[in-house]
Amino acid sequence: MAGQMSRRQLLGTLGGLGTGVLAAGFVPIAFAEAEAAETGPKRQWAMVIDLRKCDGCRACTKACQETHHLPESFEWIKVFEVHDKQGGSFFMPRPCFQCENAPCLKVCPVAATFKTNDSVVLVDQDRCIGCRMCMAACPYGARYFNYGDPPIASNPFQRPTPEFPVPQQKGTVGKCMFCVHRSANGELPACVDACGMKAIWIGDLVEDVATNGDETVRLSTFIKENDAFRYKEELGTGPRVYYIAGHGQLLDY
Amino acid sequence: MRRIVIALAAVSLAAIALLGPGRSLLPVSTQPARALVIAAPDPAAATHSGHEAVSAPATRPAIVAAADGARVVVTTRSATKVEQGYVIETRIVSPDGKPVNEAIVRFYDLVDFFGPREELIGSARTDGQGNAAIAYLPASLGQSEIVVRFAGQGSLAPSVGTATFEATVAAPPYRSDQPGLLSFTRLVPYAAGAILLAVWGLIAFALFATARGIAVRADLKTAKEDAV
Amino acid sequence: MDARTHDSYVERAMWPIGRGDRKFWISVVVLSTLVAAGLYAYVYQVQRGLWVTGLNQKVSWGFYIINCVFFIGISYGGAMTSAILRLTNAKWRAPLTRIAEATAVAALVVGAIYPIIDLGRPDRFLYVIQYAQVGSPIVWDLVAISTYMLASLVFLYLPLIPDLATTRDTMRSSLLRRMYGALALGWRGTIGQERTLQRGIAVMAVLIIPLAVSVHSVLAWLFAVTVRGGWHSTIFAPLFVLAAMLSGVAAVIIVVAVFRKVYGLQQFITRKHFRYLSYLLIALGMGYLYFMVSEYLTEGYVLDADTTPVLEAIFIGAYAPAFWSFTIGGLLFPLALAALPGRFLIGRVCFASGLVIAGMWLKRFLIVVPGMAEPMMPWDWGRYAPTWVEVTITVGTAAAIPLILILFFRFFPVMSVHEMEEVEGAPEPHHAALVPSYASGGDE
Repeated sequence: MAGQMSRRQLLGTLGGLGTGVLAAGFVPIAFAEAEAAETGPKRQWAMVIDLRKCDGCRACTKACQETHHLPESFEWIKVFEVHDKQGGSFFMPRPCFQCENAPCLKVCPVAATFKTNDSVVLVDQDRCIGCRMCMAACPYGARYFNYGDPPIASNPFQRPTPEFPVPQQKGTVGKCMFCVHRSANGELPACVDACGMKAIWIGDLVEDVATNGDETVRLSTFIKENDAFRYKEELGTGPRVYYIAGHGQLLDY
Repeated sequence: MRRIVIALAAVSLAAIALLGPGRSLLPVSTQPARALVIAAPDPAAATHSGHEAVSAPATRPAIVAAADGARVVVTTRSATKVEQGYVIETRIVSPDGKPVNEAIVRFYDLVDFFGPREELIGSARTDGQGNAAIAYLPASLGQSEIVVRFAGQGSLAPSVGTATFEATVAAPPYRSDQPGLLSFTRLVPYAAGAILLAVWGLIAFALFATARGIAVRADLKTAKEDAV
Repeated sequence: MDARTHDSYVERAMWPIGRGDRKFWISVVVLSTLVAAGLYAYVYQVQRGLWVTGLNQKVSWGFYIINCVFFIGISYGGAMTSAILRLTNAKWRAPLTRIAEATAVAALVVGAIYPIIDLGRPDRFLYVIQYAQVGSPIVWDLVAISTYMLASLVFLYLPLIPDLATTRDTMRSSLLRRMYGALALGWRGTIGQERTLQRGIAVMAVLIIPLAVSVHSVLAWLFAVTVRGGWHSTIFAPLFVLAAMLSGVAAVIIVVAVFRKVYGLQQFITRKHFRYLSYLLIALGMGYLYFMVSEYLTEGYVLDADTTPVLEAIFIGAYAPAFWSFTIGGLLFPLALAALPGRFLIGRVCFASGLVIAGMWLKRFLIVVPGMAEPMMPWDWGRYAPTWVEVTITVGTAAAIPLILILFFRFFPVMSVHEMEEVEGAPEPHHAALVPSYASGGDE
């Protein structure tokens, strides 16, 4: 019997352990909170897409595919033809919405997808295990899985990073990242640049400015004056892409 | 038995301490909440430009004289209520001194956004005296360079005027619309971890205590021997 | 229980041990071939990439996730039959518990490897442990399934200890005697040992029920924490748990029936057992029907934009044949069949259980695929058709379960002797010296 723990002793030890663990857990939280409160973000990327102007040419899709050496099925910015109830149709480009309360972030088991301080959601394809939970969770279908071998990038020494995941890796997930690799060099995102109708605007919520390459506007005013809305906003995802509906067009398709 | 429990506890505490913080949980960027920032206006920089000036830091007006273009005089001043920002006024005068009526003017703020760009912040038509004004609350503090473009009218060619001013009042910074409950959920993993520990502990107890008990009590009587 | 019945019971329980007859080897060879085919298909998939499956950008979850949920659901038979019946002191469970527990472990092992099969980068599987994000349902899955597996193994092992001692006594080869003896931990049946064992088993029986509930709840939350139309439902966790219990009991019925036939256990596993098991099946089936009605009524009454496309698809659209086959052929008809009084009870109940299991697979299909295929954006419905890779892997893993069971019962008694003694009382004392000499031992 010596050395044999009684049931009461065991339960007591476990209870004490459990409390200790819970208490210990609060310490790292305290540190994490302090860290986050230091500096404010310098940019918070957003986009405005003018549906009155989009003519469905898909130049944005092609430019994105070329820039990132993507296979045909990868439409990181995808242009939908939407038939509205009045019998007409309009075109709706959909990049990744870089949601504020992104469902894809929450469900990734290995934190392969993460949000930068610039509020862009990136994918670390060196970490992604290809479980595709993020694809199930995304309400906008903005994530794409590399089922096969992606096209080889032209530069064989290209080492992919989350900001510029070229070449894509087989068995991992990729998506639009607002071309942060281009904005780091002061270049407009590929889709913004390629749009012939200048319907896509890239903006910054902190500096409150947006440009489509030609014109530059004050983002908040632009959104308010044009009654810009966000798609499926009621889901609470907090998307960062605003749409300007055509006058008289209903989006209730 | 005791040693096993203590070892389990040490390992799991170490694991939680290592895994707890860091980029796990919900990797989102948090916005510190800042209220409207107001700094006191700097009286030393006050000069006038020919308009009736109300208090506040005025600017260095710039006059651009194009050969056949109108003169565009741009001034800025603080709004009546300081927190409303600034008023940017402009006056368009034709080369022979006459104010230009019904002139279309556009106001731009020079920004560095994918290169230097002119951000449209307002547009107006001049009145009989050639005056037009817009209200402007800059998005951030610091130096603001305003460009006013006159679209041209009749024989008058388009022309431009600039002004700079130091913004000490700015619009409230952007706040993300993350639901408040998100921060609460950070506590859940730790509670779950504690429950998990308890469960594994119970399973270990069931297995090892039983095994130990069986081994230890092998020398006692069986039920059958007892009955006999 | 009189001595002769007890002897007979022990004899039948030990009968398959060490028995390498022709039926055994043929079954093993056939099943191993199927498992090998599944393995080949998986290697083929790993070499080439997931494009060899029928998955695409819209429907990115398919057969593998369906099978994961399905096989883990089957493993609930152990929790139901063994734990719950033990706690409710149902005496008729005694000859069934070993089969149920072993089936549970086998099904769980098979079900738990499916998430790995589904991964795009299975070489990075350990990242889920290394970089675990506690907010992710996949991590919850890993934790819940591994804990449940551990608990199931312990719950299988503990009641096995006395039987291991009995088996050891029948072994002729000293090596085997030592191996069984080591596992039996020096069991002699003393009062103290009995008490210790009962306490250990009781703790596990109580623990395994919330664990089982947690596993399928976590699997349900894999779907329910997304915003997809047919998935984002609060009733998903209870629905999945009940579905798992239903398919678990149905699986136990079939496995018990098969082993009863093959190992000749008719004397101890009787019509009465199947009657009681069918009561369980019917009760769980009715409960599952209730949950289904609750969900579809709530969604169907309101017909909001999120859930209507999926409801339309399963009631009157592309998935309607599957749905109505499941509801009528996989739920209502088999339950009625099992409930009817009359002849051929065992046959009817087994057939009904087969239909229920097939129906449950179909229901998991109807949860996963329409949920993934539904238009989340203004595009058309997605499409999904499995390829030979997915089908072969499914068949291979399904074959692995009977293979594991056959091999398991080659070494361990197929019925729990100790549990029978527990519920029926130990046999009269003078039997104690009798060790069945005809029990085969040591001849491989």
